[in-house]
Formats: sequence, C-alpha cells, structure tokens
Amino acid sequence: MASEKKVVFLRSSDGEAFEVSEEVISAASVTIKGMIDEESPSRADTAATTTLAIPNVTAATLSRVLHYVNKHFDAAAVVGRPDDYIFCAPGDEHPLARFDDDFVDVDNDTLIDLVHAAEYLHIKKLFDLTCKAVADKLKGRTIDQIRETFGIVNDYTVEEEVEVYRENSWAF
Amino acid sequence: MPPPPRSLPEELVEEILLRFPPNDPARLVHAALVCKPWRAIVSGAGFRRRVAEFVPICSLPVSKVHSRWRGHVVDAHHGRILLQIIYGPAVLRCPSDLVVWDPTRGVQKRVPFPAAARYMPGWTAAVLCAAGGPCDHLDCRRQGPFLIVFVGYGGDPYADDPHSETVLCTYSSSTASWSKPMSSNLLPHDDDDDDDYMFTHAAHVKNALYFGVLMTDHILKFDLESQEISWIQTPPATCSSEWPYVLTTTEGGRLGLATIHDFSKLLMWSRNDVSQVDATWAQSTVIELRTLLPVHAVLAWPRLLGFTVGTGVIFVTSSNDVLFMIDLKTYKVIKELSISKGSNIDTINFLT
Repeated sequence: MASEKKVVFLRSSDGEAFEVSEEVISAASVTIKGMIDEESPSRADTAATTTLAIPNVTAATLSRVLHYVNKHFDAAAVVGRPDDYIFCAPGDEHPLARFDDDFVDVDNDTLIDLVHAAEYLHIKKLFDLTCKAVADKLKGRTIDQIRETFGIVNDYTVEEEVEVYRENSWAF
Repeated sequence: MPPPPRSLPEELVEEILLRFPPNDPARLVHAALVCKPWRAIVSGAGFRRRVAEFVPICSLPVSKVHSRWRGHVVDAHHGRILLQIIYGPAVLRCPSDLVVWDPTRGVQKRVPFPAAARYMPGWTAAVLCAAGGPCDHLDCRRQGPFLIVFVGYGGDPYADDPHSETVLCTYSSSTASWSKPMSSNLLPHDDDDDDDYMFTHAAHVKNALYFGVLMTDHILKFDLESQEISWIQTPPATCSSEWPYVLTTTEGGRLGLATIHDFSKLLMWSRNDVSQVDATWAQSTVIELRTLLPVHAVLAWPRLLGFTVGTGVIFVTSSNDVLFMIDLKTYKVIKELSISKGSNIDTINFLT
C-alpha cells in the first residue's frame, strides 16, 4: 500500500489546531522535527494522527508561520535555490523574494511575534528573514522612536548620554 | 490604554543588530544609544566577531581604537586597519611601530617601523590582503597573510652622502620582514627647502597602489605584481600647491582624483587606463559646493580630507572645523558635524 502523505496537527497556545504535512514541517522546523522523532516509537503503525502542542505561539502567528513553511519547504511547490538568497544582490531574485517581501510587510508586533516563533520553532530561513525585516524597519527611526517601538526605557543618565554622543559625534 | 509593545530579549536584539546594513556604521552607534544593554551588545567582542561573518568588509564604530597608546590611523583596506603607534611625545620623533588591527575581532599585530624610514618626515603606507587571486576578503583578515606597502621621502642625515629620495618597501606577514627598499629620484630635491613631501592616502586600483605626492603633480604607482615603481601625472592644472587632493576609486573600478578649486568647486577626475601609454584623465564631474554646503563652510576654505572606498563617501572640511560627508552616488551631504576635538579626526581617518 502506498503510504499516504502523513500529516501532523499543531496546537497553538490559544488552542487552535493546524494541519501540516509531516514531511514539510520536519524539513522546516528543527524543533518540530525533534518532537516528531520523539513521538515516533509510540505512533508506530497506528492510524491516529499526532497533535503537537506549540505553547509559545498563538494561532494568528502559527497560521502565518505555516503559510511561510508551505511556500518555502513544500518540495512540490518550491522551485529555485534554497537557503542563502536573503543576501543576494538586487536583481538576482529568488522566486519567492516577492512573497517574502509581502510576508514581512506587517505591523511591528506581528513581526516580533514571528521572530519569536521562528526562533522557538528553529526555522532558520524565517528567522533570518524576520530579523532582517526588523533591522530594515529601524532604518530612519530616531533613537526615541526605536525605544518607543520596543517599549525600552532609556537608562542613560544625561551625563552618560552626553559622553556617548561626544565619543561618537561622527555618527550624528 | 493600548497594550505595551512586544519586548525584545537581548539575544534577539543581537540577531537584529547583526543584520543592519554594513555600509552604515552610524546606525550601530544609534542603536548603542537606545539603552545600556544595547550598547553592551554592540560593543561586545562576540558581536564584533559575528559581524564579520555577516558582512564582507565593515567599518565598526569603535571609538576607542587605541586607548592604551597614542597614535593615528594610516590606512584601511580589506577589513584591516593600519595604525601608527608612537611611544612618546610626537615632537621628539620618538620610536614608533605599525599595528595591523582587525576591528571585528580586536586582534592586533605589531609590525616594526621600517628601518629605511627612520628619518623620514613624510611617509604613508597601505595594508592589503596578501592572499591575491580569488580572495573575496570576506574572511581573510582572520588569519590570512597581509602586505604593507610603505612609501616615504627623505634620507639618512648621518650617512656619508646624505641625500633625499623616495623610498618604497613592503612588509610580508608570511616572512615577517621588510623587503629591501626600492628608491626613486624623480621628486625634485631642493637643498634650501626641507623637502617635506606629503603623501595622500593610498588608492588600490586593480593590481596597483597609487600614492599622490601633495604639492607636486606626481603620483607614485606601485605595481603589486611586477613590484615596480612608476610615476603618473595628476590631471592637468589640477593640483597646484594650493589645492590638496585625494585619490579615489571610481564606481567603474578606476583610479579617481578629487580636488576643490576656487574654494567652491569639487572636481572629480577618473583615469582611463586602457593601456599604460594612452592613459589619460577625464574630468567626470564638477560639483558646485555652494549649492551643497552652507555659506559659512564655503567661505571658510573647504578642503578634502578623505574618501571611503566601500561607501563612496568623500569628506570635506572647512577651516571653521565643520566636516561634511558627501555621498558621491547622490551628491548629497549625508552628515555635517563639528570636528573641534582632535580625537574625531582619527575616527574619520579610520573610516577612510
């Protein structure tokens, strides 16, 4: 009997379950691959599908992550080179470059959630993409705006701030 | 009340700062000012090491390059920075060493000052990757061999027959020694004068290094392959004694030269070097500084200070101690700052 395409269910922190091909998610996420490998012995030949709890990721974020994963890691859907295109020269476009641009064109909180999810799930490509997107977002922002974006409290005293400015005055 | 924005744990901050564009080091300084933990990340050795894995050649804003010594920055190529370290007051012409510094890892390698140059008031030097051939200079500064090319003008006053000449020698990190000096008598010698010829920063174009001799119309060319010295002329009527210039590299990978005329015109030349014999200078651009800089700067003798290879930025300073950074791709002033403090000049040299 030809084996059917195996699927797993991922349950988000807020309890929603998402179906994904086991092969695709294993290729994408080191973390989930590890979970599946651990489960394997007990699954054996049972027909029951596995549900994995992803306690750190909400449904909204998880559905985005899976959208990305299905685009990038489904061998049937992916054409072109893998991995290192993020740092390619302009014009040297990966077929998914446009998809990636749109994917990270979201508000700050959504993007940061994606960074966290990519880190937790250990999806290197997504982690690179989202970190780069945050770095790009910071471009052109003032120091105050950066603090505001991430809710950071300025812990420099006025004197210390003046000193750092003075040391690095070329940059201002 | 809106919910607080998502916070970023430190390890993620590091990942994001690593992905800042490498050609804009000022942004890392801005990040350092966000809060102390961010500054600790940017200035940490681990971060500097990792930056090197992300960017080909970077200029990091390390303000305290050489806090333990006095010295200045001589040159920067292929991710390495060449410093001169002086052991004592500068006026006494105290002994000094050269130091090749890898800013991303903080590794320093000391190189003795060339013996042939002990009595040379005017000199400069350039540091290059010595791997040659296909090296992309992404990682060569980690362990790869380097080459220093030293050019100076002078003579030994204690020699039997003291005479001044242009001397060039090279240092190879593989053999840890200086080559036998080569000399050239082309520069005119005048007994009445002090002959303090000054050299521009080196420009590295194709397989040659170029050193301009200020106040003359001569540029020394050192062919790295044949190890030969030759001389080329500056563009006609460009470089009289009043108009110091800087050598640049053009976007097309040619030798360029920039100078300021009449206190207000930035002239850019590029050298057409299809063949050595027919090589000529072509004036590529004239920029009216009056349209770029504020009136006070144009009135205060603007002059050129340096040029960055990677980012195509030229530095113009005026005698009222204001420095302008002009992006040669857009011909816009991207930065204006006061340089009343001497320490900043080093930083600028470091960036050039």
